[in-house]
Amino acid sequence: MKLNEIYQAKHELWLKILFASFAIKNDEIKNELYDMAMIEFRHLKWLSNKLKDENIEYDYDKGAIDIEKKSNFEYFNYLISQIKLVLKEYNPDDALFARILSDEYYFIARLNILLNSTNDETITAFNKQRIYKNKNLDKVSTDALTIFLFEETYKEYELILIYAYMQNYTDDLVQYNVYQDLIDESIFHLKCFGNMLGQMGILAIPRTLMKNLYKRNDIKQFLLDGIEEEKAAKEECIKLAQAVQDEELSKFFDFINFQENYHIKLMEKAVDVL
Amino acid sequence: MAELTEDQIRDVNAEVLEHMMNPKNYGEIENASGIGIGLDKSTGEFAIIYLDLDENENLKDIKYGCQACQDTVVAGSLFTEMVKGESLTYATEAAKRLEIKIQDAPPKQQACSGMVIKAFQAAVLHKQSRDNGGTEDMATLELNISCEGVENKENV
Repeated sequence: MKLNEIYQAKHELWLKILFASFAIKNDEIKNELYDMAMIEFRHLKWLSNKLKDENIEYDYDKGAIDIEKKSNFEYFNYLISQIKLVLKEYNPDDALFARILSDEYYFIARLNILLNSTNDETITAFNKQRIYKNKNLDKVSTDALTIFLFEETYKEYELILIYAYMQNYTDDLVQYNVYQDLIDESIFHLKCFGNMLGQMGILAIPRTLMKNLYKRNDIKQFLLDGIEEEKAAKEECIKLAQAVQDEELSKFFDFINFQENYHIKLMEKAVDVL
Repeated sequence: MAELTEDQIRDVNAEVLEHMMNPKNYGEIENASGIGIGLDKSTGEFAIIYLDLDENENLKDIKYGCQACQDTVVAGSLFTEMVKGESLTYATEAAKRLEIKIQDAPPKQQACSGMVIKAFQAAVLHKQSRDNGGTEDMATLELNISCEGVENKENV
């Protein structure tokens, strides 16, 4: 496997572990898988640095990913098999791959321990019930929430990857730090929305990003457009917060909405140094 | 308590939900017979369609991609499923029928679904241009109405 193909496989692996964490209900296991996914995300960052240093093009293309599993144990077995598939491609003499190998051998060991426990449980993240935490939302609110979660899950995934790509190719420290902040913010939002999709029984992997979205030269225009998009997203969030007749959800959307204000400031900061 | 706007009210039935969770035919075709883009110039949103035609002009494969909202994702999935394996003539007629059908939808949904139809029509134009010796990478058709529900004046 070429290095850019390993990158694609690792990108898929990150998603597989991350979305397994969204699907699983047990908080302890969910958190452990989420931590594994975040380590995978750091692997991706280091691997993208390596690809850049070696002047190798990489992309975010991915194949079809079947994350629909019926039980926790089915997930653990699936993740073990998927980690093993990529793991055999690493060069153990390379410092980065030695680190990745060590991490992933540990993940396999942990997943095997989970398999030997009494932690099996039925997965309900794909049952399409569309009930969030036993709340009694009417159909119009449920439909609006469904659309919002799908739109925003894709958007956060897209932003994480675009900012990661821009971060990898900038030499400017201010821009680098702004992109890191925006990645961290979007990762948190993706976690919130992904878990909500799982709780509603409508969890799905976001669609593949088109290359022209991240392989671009007009970064300033991208950020300016992004500022306008953030403003529009804020409006959607406000409308949804007001319309969904549930105090807990309304407060959550207000909280997310307020975070968008600071994203706009961060993006303006990046525009200023371009 | 505020009300949801017309744009936010969309009926998510079982079929729509399935296409949202698992969009069909999403992706690219290498060496496609025709590639077309349906573009909303005022928002920058677009859909792209790839056609793979056999010697009898049947759609061996069709794929789509988009940088747009969920309505476009669902429309692309539904349309490509409907015409995959059919003749180009059938697909062209189906696109025309769909174009008429969505005229009654709210402007935003009209534009978002229309983006897929425009992309298909552009892909057919690209294929025809290639057949006549054209060398363009793809063809683009712009929407008359934007996703924001306003007319794209230059194209009216």
